Amino acid sequence: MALAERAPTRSRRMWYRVNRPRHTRRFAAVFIVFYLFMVWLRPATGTGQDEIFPFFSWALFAQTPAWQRLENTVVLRAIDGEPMEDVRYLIPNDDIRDAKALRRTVDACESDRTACEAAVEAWLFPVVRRLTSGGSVEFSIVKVRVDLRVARQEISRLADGAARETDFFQPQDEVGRWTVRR
Amino acid sequence: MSLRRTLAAAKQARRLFLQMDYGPWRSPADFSKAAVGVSWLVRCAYLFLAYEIATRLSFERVYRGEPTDLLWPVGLLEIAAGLEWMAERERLIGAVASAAGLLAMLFPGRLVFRLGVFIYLFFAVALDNSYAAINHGGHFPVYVGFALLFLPAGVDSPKRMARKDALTSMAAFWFAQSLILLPYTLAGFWKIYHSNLALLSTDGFVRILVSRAMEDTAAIPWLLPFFASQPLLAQCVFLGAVYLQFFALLALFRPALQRPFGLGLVLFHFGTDYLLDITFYPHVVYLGLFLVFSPFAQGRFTATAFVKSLPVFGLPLRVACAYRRTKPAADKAWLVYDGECYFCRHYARLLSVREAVGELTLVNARDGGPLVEEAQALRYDLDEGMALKVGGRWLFGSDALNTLAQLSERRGVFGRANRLLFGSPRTARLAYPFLKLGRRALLRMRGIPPLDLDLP
Repeated sequence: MALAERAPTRSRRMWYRVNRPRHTRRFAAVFIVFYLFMVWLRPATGTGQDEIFPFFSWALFAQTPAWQRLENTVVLRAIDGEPMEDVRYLIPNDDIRDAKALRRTVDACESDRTACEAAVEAWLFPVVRRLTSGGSVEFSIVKVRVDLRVARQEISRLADGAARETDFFQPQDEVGRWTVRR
Repeated sequence: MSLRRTLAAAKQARRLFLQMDYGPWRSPADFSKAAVGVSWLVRCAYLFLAYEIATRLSFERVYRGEPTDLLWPVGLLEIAAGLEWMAERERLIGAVASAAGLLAMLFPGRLVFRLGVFIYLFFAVALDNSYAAINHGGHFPVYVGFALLFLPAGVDSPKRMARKDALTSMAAFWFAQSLILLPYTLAGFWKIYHSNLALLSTDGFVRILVSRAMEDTAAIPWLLPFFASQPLLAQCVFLGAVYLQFFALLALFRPALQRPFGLGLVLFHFGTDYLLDITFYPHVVYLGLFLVFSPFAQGRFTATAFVKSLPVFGLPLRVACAYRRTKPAADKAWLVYDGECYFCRHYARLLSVREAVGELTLVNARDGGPLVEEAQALRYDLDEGMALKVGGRWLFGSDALNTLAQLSERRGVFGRANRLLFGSPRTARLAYPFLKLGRRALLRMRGIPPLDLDLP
């Protein structure tokens, strides 16, 4: 009896086939609700990832920046004990993944000093090693102020390549300084 | 308020705010055309997916830095086979997946090919978005591949497709449309949610543009400097884009919006390229296939239908039209029947038509009058069946019976039985000869002569 209940009978199969378009439409509606639920659930996982794949939130360019804002940067201070003549920013660079690594590190540093050391070692050391050469590299995380009004006035210079993003940085505060050894 | 009234109000609200109707139902020819259209568009989609797999979505794009932010499918791959193993066989796996895409194009009804394409896309796109990379353009192929898994086997031969297969393929296509439009609605939602009233400012978009320009100074798009100097114009464009994005999902329910919104979103992608240097060109192809060429889109563009369908802006026009449609109009429907027939008389008196139709006027054919003459002029033999005039249109016999059942309130035993027995055109057609036979037998038993009206 139990087996008979589990096994789909001919009429049940027919019922499913006949109603398949309706099932598909209902599944589509349920799936969209489930998608939204997964988007809502993502922050609760605490993994810090952007999505529970493939349920991406699509919160792209959602926030409008203020005219003035503080940004985190990684500044190269010295290579093999030799201090840098000019200010050289390692992050930001062309790779958004490095900026994400920095954001995570700063998040950790703002919550706990011990966590900060571990985060720098785990996420920033590999990036610094990849971007520099030399036996030991000294770098620091620096908060800089960016004024978008100034950048807007200079937008043609930016477009021509006469100015770079870092030209508009006004260093404010050093979060910490570390040395990477190979 | 009773549950029935609440449900009716909810249905009315849904019709008013979500789903639109544009007049007559699709004809069988339109239905077949749409089914054939779905089959061809699905083939085109698989051809494009095969191209995407061959050119863009491969396992080669693994970030060579430290392994961070592995998405869970990549973690599974690592456990199951190891990423090194995958990387070594990347070309072979990609070639097999491309071949599956081409085979799915030729035989879209075969689940095995569609499943092969989807599995490859799922893992390749997960890898593409791992290592803290941002390649969200790859999500669309995954969504499309997933929705098209629900295609029926009959989609292979569209002209011989059974009705249920045609409906299932349309449902799968609709699912793909919904998964393409949902990200736009979410993007629009987050822009509104996080805006902090910046949407209402005159320079919010300029701030986004300048901030974006600073992120990538090596490739500042050519339109950016112009829009950065025109904050009001930029903000209007931004508001338009947010409107289009936020309400994109509504195009699923409003055929008149599918093509205009599809084209609008294509323009939006060109805009993001020329203003923000963000390219999503594969999306243009998906929007083209699933919205601009959608078989569900309104056949001929009409400005009224488009404006009526527009969210927010179309609401006043929609409410005005709905009010005009639902306004009770007296003497809007007439039923011409044989007053000497016991069954006909009682059936006509028990009828309670919906308010939307207005008052139903019963006309005894034996009394004559302008309506009886009008029916005769149209060569309706009232001895063969009753006639119904609704909104200037005449219906006769089983068609009149079926329409009356459709227009009747589903209230009480009679209302429910009437709807159940004659609500379907087929059952009304089957039952009508028996009803006619019953009427004639009853008239003969009572010694009443049949209607003797001369046809012109």
